[in-house]
Amino acid sequence: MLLRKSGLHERKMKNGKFVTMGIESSCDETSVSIVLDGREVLSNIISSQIKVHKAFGGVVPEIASRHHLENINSVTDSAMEEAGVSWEDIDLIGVTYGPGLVGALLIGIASAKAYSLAKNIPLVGVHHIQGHISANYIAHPELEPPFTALVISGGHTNIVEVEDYNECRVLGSTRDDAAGEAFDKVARVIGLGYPGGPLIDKYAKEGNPQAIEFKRVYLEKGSLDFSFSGIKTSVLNYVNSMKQAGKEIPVADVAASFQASVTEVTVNKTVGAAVSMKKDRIVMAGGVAANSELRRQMQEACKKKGIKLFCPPPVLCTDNAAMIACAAYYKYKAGGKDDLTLDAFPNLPL
Amino acid sequence: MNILAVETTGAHASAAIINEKEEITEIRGDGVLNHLQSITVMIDEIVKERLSSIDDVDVIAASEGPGSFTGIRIGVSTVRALAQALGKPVIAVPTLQTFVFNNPDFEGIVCPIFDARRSEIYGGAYAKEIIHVEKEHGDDSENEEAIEEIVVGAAYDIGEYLDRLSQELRERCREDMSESELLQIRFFGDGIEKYRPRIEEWADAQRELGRKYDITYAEEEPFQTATSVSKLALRLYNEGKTVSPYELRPNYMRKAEAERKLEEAQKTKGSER
Repeated sequence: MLLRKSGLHERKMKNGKFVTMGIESSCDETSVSIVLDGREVLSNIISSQIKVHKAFGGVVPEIASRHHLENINSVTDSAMEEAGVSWEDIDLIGVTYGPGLVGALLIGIASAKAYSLAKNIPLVGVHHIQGHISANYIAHPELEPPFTALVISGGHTNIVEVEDYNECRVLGSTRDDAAGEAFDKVARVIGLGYPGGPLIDKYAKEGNPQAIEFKRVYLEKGSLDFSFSGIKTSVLNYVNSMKQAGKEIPVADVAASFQASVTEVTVNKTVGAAVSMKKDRIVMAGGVAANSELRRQMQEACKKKGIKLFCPPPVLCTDNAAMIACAAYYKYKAGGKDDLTLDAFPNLPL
Repeated sequence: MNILAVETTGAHASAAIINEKEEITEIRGDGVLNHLQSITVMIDEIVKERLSSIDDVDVIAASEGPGSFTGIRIGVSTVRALAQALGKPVIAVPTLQTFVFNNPDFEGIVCPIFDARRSEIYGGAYAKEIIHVEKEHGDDSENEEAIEEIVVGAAYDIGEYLDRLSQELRERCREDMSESELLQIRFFGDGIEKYRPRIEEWADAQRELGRKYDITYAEEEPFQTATSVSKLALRLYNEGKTVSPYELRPNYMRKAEAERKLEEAQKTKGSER
């Protein structure tokens, strides 16, 4: 470890690379990362609370906040140790300041501000969605804006027009549940447990996506918004009617049919947006972007339209601090800077 | 030796620095900004006012709770991160006990009560206690000041709290009171606003029972202050009660709602919602 440390330090000094510490605590992942020049990840420590929240069938904000507080300092130590950096090496601290659970966000923000004050390091607040999009800059070194982005996770479902690193416009959002939320709720209804996304993905592989016809909700003509609560209710009604009839629920078929419904709408709207905005690249981000069927269908649809698709590897799809460090780097380069009054914004608009 | 003390558990946030001579400087929030926005700024200001560098802070003390869960977490996570980056030890200061320092001239029993919602309070009862320490050799004896915990700090139903208080005070009345003397009892904290009628009722009943209490409500410094946190922190420091920042934990005095409900559900097995 010592050798690696000094070796890295030398290289950094030689190359004069810019060291960013990213901090993420907007939901149930406590993460700290060290990134060089915005794109080269030296460490990306993610402490997940999935096991803690499993007993409750979903993320409990109060419990998430309590765990963030207890975890964050050792996660920071691990990230610095793995990267082989000391406090004196760090040029910038980037922290998620919204959207997210306010009690969870504030642990990352309070810690980031304390680090910034103690070591006199510049501070930048990062929008969580901007972070998710930036995960693609880490995964694909050649990728630069502009492009169309689909941000799809347990907390968000947005189609975003990305014009530049710090310039983007939301074209469509969910009007009720986020896609990942619908996955979690449906998984609970058919008895798969929590978290629902990976479990539905897994069971759907064994099922028939045409077995049950669930609603495809496109809303008004031309709208790029989403609505997933209707699909969730259809699944619930179907399951109840099966139960009342004393029939066994075909779990794999329900998973596959539900997933097909969400995927079809999401792919059509995203590709449609890229085509109408004359973009030849689509970027996917967020936890649900790890869904294998969504990736497959998006790839297929993009191919037909001559669009190039970018997806981060699964570890960069989930909430992580490397993506926050990356977004912070580009925001700081463009003159973005925050002071010690930085606050948490649970509903921060993009 | 400089201790930085941080108080964010109540409605007003504050930061203070105390040294071994008990010289204190304090900054309080103007209430315009929330604690997350204001506390790091206050720390920055007080360090600049009092010290030449933040590295001159030797120990950092956090008001550990009870109080607002969010408020406690803002203070505790700020202190943990500051101490981690500066490489300094921390002190966990029990918030209810700090009230023995709020009214320095008051000699009686200090009863801080915080509104804990769900018709409960976080409360305790404390008194400054002078302990005479007899030395084994020679005739010199020393006086040491300690805090006596008369009612242990916890979440209570207000009735339960007042019952415990009368129980403990009954014994106290017998022991050390002359006929003409009244036992001084003073209430502090944001629980007064909601529960004052209940306390008055209780006080009347006590008087009817012949208890000689003089009950007052704090007019000066009725709420948490970093000054009082720093005073208790200095005593805890002198007792060697510093820990690493990783060991500093909030003292919520209550489980998370979801945890409580899950446990209840597990107790009454089979009851689904």
